[in-house]
Amino acid sequence: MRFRRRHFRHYVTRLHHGAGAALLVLSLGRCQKSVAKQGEGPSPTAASEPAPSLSGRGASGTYDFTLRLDPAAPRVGQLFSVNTRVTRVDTGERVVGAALRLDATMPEHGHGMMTAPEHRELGNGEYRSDGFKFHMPGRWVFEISAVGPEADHLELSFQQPPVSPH
Amino acid sequence: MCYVLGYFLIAIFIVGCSRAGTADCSSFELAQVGSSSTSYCSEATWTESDWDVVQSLSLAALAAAPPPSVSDEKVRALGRDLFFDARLSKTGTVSCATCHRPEFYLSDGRARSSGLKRLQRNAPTLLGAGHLSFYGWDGRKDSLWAQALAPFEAVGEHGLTRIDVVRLVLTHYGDRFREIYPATELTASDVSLRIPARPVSEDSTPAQHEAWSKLSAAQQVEITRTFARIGNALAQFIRRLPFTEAPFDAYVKAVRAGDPTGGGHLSESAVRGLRAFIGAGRCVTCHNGPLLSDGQFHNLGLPPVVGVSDSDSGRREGARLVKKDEFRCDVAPITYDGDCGELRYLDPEFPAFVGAFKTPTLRNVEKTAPYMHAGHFDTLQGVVEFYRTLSGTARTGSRDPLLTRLPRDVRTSDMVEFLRSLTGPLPPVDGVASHGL
Repeated sequence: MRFRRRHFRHYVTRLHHGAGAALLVLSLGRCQKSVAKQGEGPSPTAASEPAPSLSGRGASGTYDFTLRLDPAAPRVGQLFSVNTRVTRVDTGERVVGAALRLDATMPEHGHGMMTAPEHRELGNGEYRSDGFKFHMPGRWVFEISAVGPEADHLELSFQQPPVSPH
Repeated sequence: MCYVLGYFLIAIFIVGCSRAGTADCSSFELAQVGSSSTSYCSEATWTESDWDVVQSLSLAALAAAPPPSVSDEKVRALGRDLFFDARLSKTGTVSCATCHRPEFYLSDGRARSSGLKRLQRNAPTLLGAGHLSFYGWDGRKDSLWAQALAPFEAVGEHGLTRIDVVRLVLTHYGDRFREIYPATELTASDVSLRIPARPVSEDSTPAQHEAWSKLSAAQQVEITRTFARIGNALAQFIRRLPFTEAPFDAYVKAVRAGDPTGGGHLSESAVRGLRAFIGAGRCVTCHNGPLLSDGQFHNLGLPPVVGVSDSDSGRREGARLVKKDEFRCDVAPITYDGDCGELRYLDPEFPAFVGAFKTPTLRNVEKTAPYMHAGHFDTLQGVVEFYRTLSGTARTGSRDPLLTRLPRDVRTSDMVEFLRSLTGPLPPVDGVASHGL
């Protein structure tokens, strides 16, 4: 089959223009903002926004757990505390007098924390754990267990962001 | 052909904008985008997230110390004089400055220090010490003042007991000491200060322990309290020694002020080193913040050193010691600032503490050779090459899994150039002139 030369050149040109435009768009997308700006101070960081509270239903469907970190978005290597609220799934009632255990590990790295937290009950279904420290960024998993009139447990994943400007 | 030229320009644009931390900048000198006559790579084309990290390493990120009060100044001046006073040693020849020499940025230029005897650890710089939570390579002390006192009672360092130290200080500095600490009841001639004595420590001889037990509880408390005040004066002096602006800090300042070349404070090689430091080299994993240290403890799996025990458990032992230290945060005879959380929640049995040592600051690192806790490496090149190979395995514990080998395309010379840019001018360490060092 004969291919007409004129058409060939036409299509090749269109192809090149299209490819060039695509490359330009891609390169603009990849190009991130340069920061040589006037009077630039430290950028606001994720650490200044409150982290969402961590919550979930226990494995046996008995208790709901809600965790609040204090400070809300701890820095790597910073000591923080955790307030855990335990409520019954069926009635929503707060669970008082449970033996609560809270720990955290990095399963992918096979280690836990280098601190040994202390726990106490605040009352009205609230429990306080002091002395948490995430010494590395990455995925940490909170392991919560509550043994009251009934028992339940839960694992909650938490992404510790890397060091950011203080 | 137009489209060939177009592709060429677009290719330059793409590669220029997506700059990897390890690009060889010199090859871009011909590809001038814009009218600047300087090489493209010395311009500060940092991504926002990378620039956040760069700024977090600079002195601008360090909280400023509050200005000293008049009485703070007297305490500091006393601490300075004590620091340089070699009479505070068994032989009259060892002062704090023996191992923390101003000309070595308050280290001593030796692989391992020597007081009265040769010791097993490298003397770290004292600049920036006020910002730490734990002191010593294994973090066995949790305050600067407790750390400052430890060498006095170490047989291989100053070789004294606290009785000797208190008596000597009250003899030579009595008036100044009482002016600062008017509650001091002891005098140099006090009967309780006649016989060298101290509570049991790893170095004490049985006679000194026996002499200590013969003192009344009130005498013991008064001696220890006076001893603690001496530590406090030294700590005030050390804490107030500032970091000075290094070329790296000047670079950051210039870029923030709108000069994309960073005022020329960093060479191209140093900028490449900086990019690798926060990028492909992953150094910033542990060497972060304005001190370029996370203050944590890591096992690097260092090679053994002749003459040094390789079963040194580092932080494992240090953490156990600090939890029982007589001067630790929650039992100290003088008040700590802040709470005792770091001590209270520390778990000495954390497995990764075995063989782990504290991340040192990299500020002024060029001036504080040799490097690592027993002076394993004489040069920065040696340190960087260690990270490139990570050869062998840890003799005690296991190498921290955070460590990865430095990639081949990160040049040692660039890393060293960056590290050298962290040297600031020696701060005014008073006493250099008056004590003839």
